[in-house]
Amino acid sequence: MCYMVFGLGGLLSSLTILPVLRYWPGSKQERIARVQRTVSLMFKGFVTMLSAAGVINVSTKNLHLLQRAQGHIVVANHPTLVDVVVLISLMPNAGCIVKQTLWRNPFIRGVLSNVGYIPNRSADLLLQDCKQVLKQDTNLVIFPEGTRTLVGNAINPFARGAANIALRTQTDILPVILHTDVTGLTKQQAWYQIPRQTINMSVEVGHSMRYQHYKVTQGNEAKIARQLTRDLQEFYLNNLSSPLDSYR
Amino acid sequence: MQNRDQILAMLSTILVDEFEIDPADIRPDASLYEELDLDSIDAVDLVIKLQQLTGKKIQPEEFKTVRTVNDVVNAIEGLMQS
Repeated sequence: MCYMVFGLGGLLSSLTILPVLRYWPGSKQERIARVQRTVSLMFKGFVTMLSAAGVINVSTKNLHLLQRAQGHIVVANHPTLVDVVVLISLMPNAGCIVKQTLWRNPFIRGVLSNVGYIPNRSADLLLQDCKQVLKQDTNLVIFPEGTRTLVGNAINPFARGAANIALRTQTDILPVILHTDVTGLTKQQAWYQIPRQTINMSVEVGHSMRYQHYKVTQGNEAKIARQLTRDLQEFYLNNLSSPLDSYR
Repeated sequence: MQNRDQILAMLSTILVDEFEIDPADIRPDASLYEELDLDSIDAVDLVIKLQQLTGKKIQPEEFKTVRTVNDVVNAIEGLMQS
């Protein structure tokens, strides 16, 4: 039922609200910011619906750090299917990196480019795109786990993309820790297997990791990116090893 | 840098020094992306390093098909002869 609303909502909004916003006056940057706020609001509505349906219960910690962040790379672990929806619902200015193949879909392409999302093209083009989007104060959401956490693991091994983008675009990383108490909506279950028990999810915003702490010189980026990725992994492992405080 | 051994030695040095790869893992048939855990950004860096060391321009297309350590050696060898 929730999925139907999500799908229909997505279809309807891309047919109605989003095209209107696209041609609404303003600079390209203003229009992108407007669409991002709209998507955030729609996702907020969706999260409210999920809460009402008893699927998920979201609580936050240090949310102000996330809401006032601009042009940061927002990194999060990825326990469930709805992580990105929850995160974007809490951020008025979120961007993502989206599979390039979706750009070939004529229905989706319009929406994606209006909201300032980035296709995962070749490495150098991707870095250019990220630089440009971050400069416009969009926060880029990246899940370094690459896919949802394997059940039983605290995290999957991190890929180095987020660290590489941070170092090469000189951007700080804002780590967000998603703590869930019951497993559900994971990669190992079908999307329609909704857990019987409500998933309590705490969204805890950490302090930003400054790119300046990592001394990048010409030619050592690959090495430093590995270091930063290790540090990030360590941070998540330390923070996720303890059970969810508020629900203990 | 004429023969394959020298090319391989140069490549190994880069992989160990810049990409923290264990020298023991560097075999001719080792896959760069799976076994040596390079990602697409590393690949761009590797091409830049190889260009600097060989003084030859490497076309991205030529490197698209490169999968293993041996493929890199072949590509560089081809460049040096051309």
